[in-house]
Amino acid sequence: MKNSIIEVGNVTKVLGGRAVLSDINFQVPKGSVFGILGPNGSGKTTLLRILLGLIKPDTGEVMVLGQNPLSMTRENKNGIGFVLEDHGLNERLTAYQNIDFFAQVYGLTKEKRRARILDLLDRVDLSAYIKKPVGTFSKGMKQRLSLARALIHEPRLLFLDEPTSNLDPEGTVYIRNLILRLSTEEGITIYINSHDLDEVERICTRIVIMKHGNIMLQGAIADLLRPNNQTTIEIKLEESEAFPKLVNLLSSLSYVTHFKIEKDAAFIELTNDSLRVTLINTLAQNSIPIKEITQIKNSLEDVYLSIVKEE
Amino acid sequence: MRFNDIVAVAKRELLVITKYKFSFLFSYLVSFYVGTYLSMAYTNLIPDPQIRIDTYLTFFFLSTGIAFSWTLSTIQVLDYVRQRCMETILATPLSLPSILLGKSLAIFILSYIPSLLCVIIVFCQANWSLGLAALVFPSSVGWILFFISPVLLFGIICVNTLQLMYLNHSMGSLIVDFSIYLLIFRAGAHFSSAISPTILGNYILGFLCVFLLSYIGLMFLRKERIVLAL
Repeated sequence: MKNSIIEVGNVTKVLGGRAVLSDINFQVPKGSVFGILGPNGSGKTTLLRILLGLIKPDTGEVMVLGQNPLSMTRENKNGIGFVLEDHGLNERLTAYQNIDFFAQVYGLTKEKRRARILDLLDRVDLSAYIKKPVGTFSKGMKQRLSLARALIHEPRLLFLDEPTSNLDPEGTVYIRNLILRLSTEEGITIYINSHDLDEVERICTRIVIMKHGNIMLQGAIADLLRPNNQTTIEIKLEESEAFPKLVNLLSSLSYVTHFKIEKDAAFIELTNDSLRVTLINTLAQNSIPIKEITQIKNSLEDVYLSIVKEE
Repeated sequence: MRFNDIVAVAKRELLVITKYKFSFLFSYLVSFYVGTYLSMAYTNLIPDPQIRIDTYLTFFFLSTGIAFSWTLSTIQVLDYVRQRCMETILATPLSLPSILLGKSLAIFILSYIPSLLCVIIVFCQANWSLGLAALVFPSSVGWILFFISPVLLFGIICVNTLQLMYLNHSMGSLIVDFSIYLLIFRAGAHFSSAISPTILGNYILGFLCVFLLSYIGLMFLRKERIVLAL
């Protein structure tokens, strides 16, 4: 795919006699926020390590920014930022010293380093803590500092491993908004490993769900939540006597793929989300006394749990 | 491998090690005391001040440096175990040789300076009874060994750092380190009465050992190995 910033093809990896990754294939489009979901031991971290060039896959091909991560040029490596689960900050050093080391590694000049560090610490609300040892920071502050560290060299691609794990709700919202700003305002492609379904549903445009080293499901979030653009609506009626008439009517409509009556409500599946209005008009024309209409939304949690719980 | 990378890693390591203020000062003082005391106690048995000074330069000078590097390596070990920064550092564009040389350079700087202080103390002690009129300086061979010692010390530190990287920064690496030290320098201790071809041979053997070990170690060291051991 021409527009892909990451391409993973038929990747397998065996560690300690166990297949940690089996035939993994996916692409990450440029500018997207891409989420990898999966329970512990599903191979997310191993996959991230392969993408960062820390581990060699046994078979298959990986391309990040158009190159193999294991033999990537320095220029391309400088286009990648990352925050791993162990945030990689030395708690004995100050916020400035921690970031300054990485700025040197990425080749920033002394003057540029200082200006960039001050700017980034300001963006993550840590300007007041510039000379404080990181050991005195809260988890949320460390996570923000890690993000600042990852952005020091203005990467085009950002890898985040569990960016909001162990954060309080306020810290979670802060990091989430920061990620969204990076994606929308700066056009950075973001790859997220996460357990947090709510977070992934809110910020990711495409996802992969993994289990036991296999990809179970992948695609755009909107498509996964509404397969083939199907939609389900729940209709409650003013009078229960109208249900037989409703059943007769629904049976005759070609765009109703399935329906069922439960207690005082009818659950109706439509072939296309845009046909909701047509259905409502048809019901009104046939004098069906509608009390309430609700669109049933499939949550990512439903999709995820249905896959992960399957044995 | 870029020079700037080595300097960046060395600067960071220097900062980190000196942040462990209590451990740093304690290990420094102990190494300094043990190094100086042992050197003086051992060389005091040698009546000739010329041989005494030369003996110090050929054997104890390097031993003191190694003692310092061990204690500082212990601090490095503690830091890597506690801070868990290694994976993040490995994922940057830094190459393994840059990381190795940077870490080794920091330990070398912190080890070599106190070793030089020990040289001055031993020099003063050896000349104490002779008075200013009869000052004894190292012989020409002593000077040569004195100037090539830093290179050998750096090589030893490189091997030590490699072991730390191979063995997941565990304390076990210090045991391996001690074995290498014994292998290279044990013979030197028995030839403390004068500079002999054997001592020169030990130096050459030491050079070959540490640089060959460093080279072979780097050839086989992979980021994957370090990451999976973490």
